[in-house]
Amino acid sequence: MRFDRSRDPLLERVSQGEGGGLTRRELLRRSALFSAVSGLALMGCSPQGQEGGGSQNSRNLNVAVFSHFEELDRRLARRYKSSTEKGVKFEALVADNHRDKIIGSLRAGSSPWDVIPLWSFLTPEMASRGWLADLTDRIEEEFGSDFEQFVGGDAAFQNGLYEGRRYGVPVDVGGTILHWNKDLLEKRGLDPEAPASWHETAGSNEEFVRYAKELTFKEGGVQHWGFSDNWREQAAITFNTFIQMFGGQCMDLSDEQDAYGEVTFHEGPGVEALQFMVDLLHTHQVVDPASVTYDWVFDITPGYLDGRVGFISTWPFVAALAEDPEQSKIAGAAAHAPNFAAVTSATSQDPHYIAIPESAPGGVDAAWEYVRTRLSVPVQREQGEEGAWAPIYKDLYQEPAVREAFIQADVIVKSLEYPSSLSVTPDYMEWRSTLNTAISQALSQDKTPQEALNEAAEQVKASRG
Amino acid sequence: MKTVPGARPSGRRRTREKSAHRRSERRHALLFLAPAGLLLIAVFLLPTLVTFVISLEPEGVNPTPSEVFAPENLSQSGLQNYERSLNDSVWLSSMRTTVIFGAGMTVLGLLVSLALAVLINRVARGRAVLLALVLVPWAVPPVVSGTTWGLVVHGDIGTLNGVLEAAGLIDTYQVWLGEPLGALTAVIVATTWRWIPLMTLLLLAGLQQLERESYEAASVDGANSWQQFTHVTLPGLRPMLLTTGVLSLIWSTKVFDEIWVLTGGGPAHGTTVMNLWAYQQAFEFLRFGYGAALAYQLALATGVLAVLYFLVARRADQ
Repeated sequence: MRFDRSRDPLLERVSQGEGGGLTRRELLRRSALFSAVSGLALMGCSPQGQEGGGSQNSRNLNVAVFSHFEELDRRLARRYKSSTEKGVKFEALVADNHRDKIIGSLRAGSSPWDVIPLWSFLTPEMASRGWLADLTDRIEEEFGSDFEQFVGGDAAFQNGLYEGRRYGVPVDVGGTILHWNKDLLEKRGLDPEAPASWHETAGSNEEFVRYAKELTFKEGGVQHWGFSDNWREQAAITFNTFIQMFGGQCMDLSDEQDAYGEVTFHEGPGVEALQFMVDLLHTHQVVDPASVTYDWVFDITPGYLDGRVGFISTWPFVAALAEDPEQSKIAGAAAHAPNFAAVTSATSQDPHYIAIPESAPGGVDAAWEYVRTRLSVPVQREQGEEGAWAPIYKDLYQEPAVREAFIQADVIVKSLEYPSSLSVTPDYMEWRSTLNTAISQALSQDKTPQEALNEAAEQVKASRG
Repeated sequence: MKTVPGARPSGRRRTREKSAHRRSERRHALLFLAPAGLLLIAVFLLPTLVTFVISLEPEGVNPTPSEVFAPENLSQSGLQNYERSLNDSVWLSSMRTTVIFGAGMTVLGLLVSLALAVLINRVARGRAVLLALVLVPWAVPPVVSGTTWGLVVHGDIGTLNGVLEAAGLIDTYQVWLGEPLGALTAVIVATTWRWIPLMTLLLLAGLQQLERESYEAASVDGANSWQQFTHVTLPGLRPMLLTTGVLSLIWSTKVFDEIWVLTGGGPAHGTTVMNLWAYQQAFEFLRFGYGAALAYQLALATGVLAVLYFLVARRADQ
């Protein structure tokens, strides 16, 4: 017998919703609407949804730090809290991808951090887009015009400039220096102390080549190289050092109001610098050929720390690595000095920077207090005594605890007396990539150094419009 | 007219009730589909539209909604980014590199996958184990794969150099990634290695659809293994080979991780594919508009391949 709904008074009332009863369909409809409205309401109540933004917890400062600085920053947070009564919430960023993470937030117009870490060369790029707070007046109020108290004077602060204003501050100093294996030099009949004074002698680059040739040999099936470097993505850094050695620079940034400067890497000194690199690789054959595939410092250190490479030119922290018997076979035999000289010695200074986003949730004033603490002498002293990252104040290098921890202290100070500019511009990442391509073409001998650099210069000028 | 309780509704009324019921069902269906639809709009359609608008806008526009849709930026919209790409030598060479990379990945992938599929298809015992081993590369994250292959072809400590030198095939270690041809070969091998499992599965499925009777008939006619392969297996497998080949070409346009880790697009843009150059423009050089324009061109090229796949797949079904 077919069930006839119309004959069941109860079902009839339910299906027609009579007598105030909730039908199944109505229940489902109201549930769906409730869920949708609740979801929208929750979104509207989230911190990001509030007008004017601002940290919900106004007692906390949100600080992003490089992961290798995290411990030091956490210790300084106690100083910060004692002077401001504000806590600090940290987020550690790995150096390799910190730019992607920071840009991802800043270009959306909001920053979850009050203070951010930067490779120094990223500062003009971000400042040109209005992402960073102008710190010029605060820096002037803090330090006046006395930059002589810093290692290298104003040099470490140069990378934070954009159109004459300052947008970032260095928390350490340092450029590439020459490292060598004294035992290997002695074994090959060379003076192991000679490289220490090359920076003072114009033309010592030729002596360097002579040494590197003697250090390139094969013994017991093991190939030794006179020199190794990272010439893939970092080739432009080495080129930047060499072009300054030959008396030139990658960009003419003498006009402070012109943040982009004039392209000069294709002029005489640049061609000499690139020819020098090509000659090291092909004419003198003293460079590990795999160098053209090495991307960063930890690609070149294994050969050096293993005792198979005579010279490297890289960041000062490697000197401490080389003295650690657990990581190095040349502990006790490693030496370091400012780079050799062509016309002059030179280096490429790339300090760690910190900056304040324009959209800092807690406000620029609160963030600046943290920056002041980070740059304070006691904190810098603590950093120096750790022996990993060079402090910015010259006087600290006279203190026994810092000197004991920093075996390369004098070398760092001396190296920054020579040209050390990185020629940073807002389009640094792009022209550096173009330059890397030109260097690669010259090193593979597809083009002469002049051809490669001319083409690169034209591309940079065209991309600037 | 007063309704009598228990009385059966009239025909017209039943029709009205059914229509109302269907309308109500449709409303409810839309209501429940709405969240998924909104999600689709929010994470796919809206970004696609916004990216297209960005690709038309001048230099220096940040991709925040307030800047993208600001009247002064919209008023300057045009095809300048697309026109620029016509004179971009790296973009043009990346097209050539993408084609070579895709062709290399497809040919190598098909050859190896076909061999593996035939082997697995013939094996009676241990097939599951063999299949599991074949699937291993698929489980490896692309970045890990790229890093591992980087160590294999390393110019100083690479396994490949060690093996070749021990076998007497080379006198000195070669810097495989130091020149464009070697670098491109390395990225093709590294990428293909990860896609072989999926291609093998597809071809294996195709093999298992071939009729056993065809092989029996060929055997009766005196065909040996090779003849059976060339005259029965390959013709029967052609639709699946075509389908897998086109899919491989589509996948090749998406490859990024292995190339980025192994070579970074070098040396001298020798391994820079379209995908990579679009990424560098947008996220390394912060030229969002230009990067978006390049990405759209790449999407167009991939769309053409997708249409080709559709045609091939439909023909295979027929």
